[in-house]
Amino acid sequence: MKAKAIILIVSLIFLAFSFGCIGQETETNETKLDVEEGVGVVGTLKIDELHPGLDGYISLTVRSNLGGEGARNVYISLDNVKPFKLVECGNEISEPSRNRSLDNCNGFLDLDKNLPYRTRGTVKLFPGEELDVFWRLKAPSVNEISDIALKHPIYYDVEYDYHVNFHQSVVFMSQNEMLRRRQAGEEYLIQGESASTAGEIRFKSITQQPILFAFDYQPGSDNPEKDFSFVLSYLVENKGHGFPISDVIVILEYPQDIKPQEDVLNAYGWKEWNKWNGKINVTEYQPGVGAVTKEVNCRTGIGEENCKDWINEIFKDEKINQDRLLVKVIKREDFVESFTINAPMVLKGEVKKELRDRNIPLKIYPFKVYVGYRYFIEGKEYITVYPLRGI
Amino acid sequence: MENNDENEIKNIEEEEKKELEEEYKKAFTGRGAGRISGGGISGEDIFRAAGFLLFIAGIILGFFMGLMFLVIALLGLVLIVIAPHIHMPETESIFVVLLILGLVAIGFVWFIKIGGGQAVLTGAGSRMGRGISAIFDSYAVKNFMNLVKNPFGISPTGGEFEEVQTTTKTPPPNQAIDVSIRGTLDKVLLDQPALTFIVTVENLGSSKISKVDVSLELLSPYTGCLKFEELGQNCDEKNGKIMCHVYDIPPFSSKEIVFSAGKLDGKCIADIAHGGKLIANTQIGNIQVVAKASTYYPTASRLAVERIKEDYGVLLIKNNVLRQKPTGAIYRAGTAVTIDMDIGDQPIFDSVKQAGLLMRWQNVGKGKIPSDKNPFLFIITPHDFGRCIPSTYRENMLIVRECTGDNCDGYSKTEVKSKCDTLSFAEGSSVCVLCDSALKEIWCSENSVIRKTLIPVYAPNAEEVFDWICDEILASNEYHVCATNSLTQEFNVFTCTLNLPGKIQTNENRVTNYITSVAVYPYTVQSAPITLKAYCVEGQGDWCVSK
Repeated sequence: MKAKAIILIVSLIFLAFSFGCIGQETETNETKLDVEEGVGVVGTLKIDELHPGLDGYISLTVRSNLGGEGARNVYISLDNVKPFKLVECGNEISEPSRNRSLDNCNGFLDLDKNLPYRTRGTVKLFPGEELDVFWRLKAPSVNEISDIALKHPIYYDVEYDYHVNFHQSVVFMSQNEMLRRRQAGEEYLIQGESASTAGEIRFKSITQQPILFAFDYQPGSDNPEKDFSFVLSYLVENKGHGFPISDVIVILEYPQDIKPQEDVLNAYGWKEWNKWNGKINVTEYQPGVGAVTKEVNCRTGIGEENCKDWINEIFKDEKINQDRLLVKVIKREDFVESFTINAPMVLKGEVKKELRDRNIPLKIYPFKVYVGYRYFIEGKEYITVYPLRGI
Repeated sequence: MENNDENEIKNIEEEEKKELEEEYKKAFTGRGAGRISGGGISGEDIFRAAGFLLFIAGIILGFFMGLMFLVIALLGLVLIVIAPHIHMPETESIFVVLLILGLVAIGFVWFIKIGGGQAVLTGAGSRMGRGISAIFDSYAVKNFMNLVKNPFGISPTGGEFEEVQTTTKTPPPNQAIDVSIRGTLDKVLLDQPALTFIVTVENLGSSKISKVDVSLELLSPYTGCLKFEELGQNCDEKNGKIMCHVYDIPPFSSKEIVFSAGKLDGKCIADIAHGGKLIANTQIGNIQVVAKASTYYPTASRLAVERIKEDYGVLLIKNNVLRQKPTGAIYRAGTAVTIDMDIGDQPIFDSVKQAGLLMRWQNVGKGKIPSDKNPFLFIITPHDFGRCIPSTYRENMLIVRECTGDNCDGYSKTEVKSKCDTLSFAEGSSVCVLCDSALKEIWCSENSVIRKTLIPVYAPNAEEVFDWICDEILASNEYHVCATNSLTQEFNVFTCTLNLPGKIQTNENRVTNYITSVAVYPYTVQSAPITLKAYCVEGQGDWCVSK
């Protein structure tokens, strides 16, 4: 009986596996979002054929997989739409790049008014939220396609503002303490807390810790301590399928005991918030003149704006201490997939003296990093218009 | 004594009992288990046989229908492996094995029913076949093959035929028309009107054919020796050839003409190739009859020219989202002539002001473009792109265009017109390029010689093409149209320079414009020949002798 039961169970398991494999071959592929942490398009335009002169709906499903903050000012656009036209609000046929003239129609999103017909916009897309956007596409006539099947590429773009922040604790340790710990066999490689940012562009602290400093004088000395210079390092990585269409803003909020290293700050591309006019320097080559440096606004992905105004707009919900802020603008041209940025900082001499005199061997300072940018992804689908033949 | 006997009987019974128990033990445990009597089929054998059967079936199905069927082979293997450990009598083993086979069969039938099998069987054939096609389709192999085919690299990137909207997606053949011939009799007595031929003309393309000239003739040296007592409607005899006209063949369909009561002229055959005498009752060698079909056929191809805002394009390239690459044209389905076009790597930045358009005219069908007739090629460019005047002919051609000043490419307005008039253009007697207003003026007026006389004679099939160009394209002012009459060869490469419109003025980042080339080309195809076995008998004439 036992043997029979074993054989039956083995047979059934194999059959179940067989059916499983067979099932996998024939099932319809599930559409899924190929974006791990960002806003992406689920599936396709959901139409691939039209006949000349006829119209049909195309739709995009946009999902936010962002962690932390939601995406703001989300615009979903079709690109390269001509020779197709768009039909909206009943039967109004329009050139895709013309701005909407009507006030409101069924299905309008919050920001649709005054946008081009090819663009749809919403103020905010919360994490985990899905949005379906529709367009009614009118195919060109038989004459417009010269009676040859037209396989036309239509691009779809999704762009959104995103901002994120993270705290980090940086451990400072005196060399004396490090030596003591080594001699005592105690752990001396102490890492402060640090996280990576959410979103498609990840910022991660890679500062070597603990930051070791030496006292210039013995405890109890009346001599003041010199400032101690150090560098905070961050790894910036684009983990998404798109790229930042705006300049990328990085803000570093530092604690009271720390100050920026002013003499090299500019060389590292940082500005002190309070001393900054909101413009960035750009060096251009001009024929006959040579390299010329000029001040320009930030590119926000939508237009150009004074960087400070744009930053205030992005981080309006954040409570940032504007007295101790460093700002770095990474120009979108300079943005590559992965790179490191460094912030030159100084531990103030008077703080060092206090640490020395009070015999404090270890100190942890909190820093806060804010990042803001406008991110862009693009997709492509073909729509074919078949002429009716054989008539 | 009795006790002894009883004990003996007891012992014998016990011995028999022990023997039976041992036999049962042997039957149900260890090697040879399941074998009740030494020579019969055991449960192990049944399981092994079933396993072997499933293994072979799985391997065969896996090879021909898909790897998923290897699961059946795997099940077979498992049965073979576990067979020695099965301690089961014959009847029960058969029951379990039949149960397993039955379940596998049910699974197989279910899979076929849901269409999985159909998908596999009607696909590209076996996995191996698909694998080989995939290798040949790969980018690197394609590039290598292109290099072998065209080592000088002058040809544009290969375009593709337009997709045809059918359920099967079968690509149409690269032909305009085809002709075939069938005969009802192949052994024939000379001068006997007993020959019947059925000629089938097929329209393999996607354009309607309004007229095809079909000829029936004997191949050399017997040309002109095929006679018909009576010819049907739309047929006549000219220079020894039988000529017929077939009208109105819809796309992808065919029409037949029947030639009956035909005969081979014995005297003609004797005089042409046998010194005036034929030997009676002897087969005359190599008399072949063929059908030829000639028509004008329209074709078109289109090149998408995608332009992109420069700063946006640079961003895409820098972030590895975009890679510029060459793009070929899309040709109308079912054409014997392809006009491929290439404008270089695309998308083109909107800062680029000029681009060279390379065009390749090629006969890809099995027929011929006759050298005594000339195709007409129209190149339709968006108005913003300027005119496409093929530069290959710039030195020799005469350009007719609207002149506002005294200088019209070195010719005065009157001079140019006189040298490149309608007739010379249509007959190809001079190499001309006509553009826009000149084309409109010479070509499109209601009473123009071309529309009234030449098109009905030369290219009745293409009347709607000419009408389309005159009535819609030239009338709309959204396009430039240039026409040339000089593509008489089977293969030709030529170029023109286009002025691109510069910065994209709309809020779109990409714009695609289309360059269309439309051609009307003469095309002749010939059928495979039929060989006739002909003979004469004594007394038919003085040209047929006994020896």
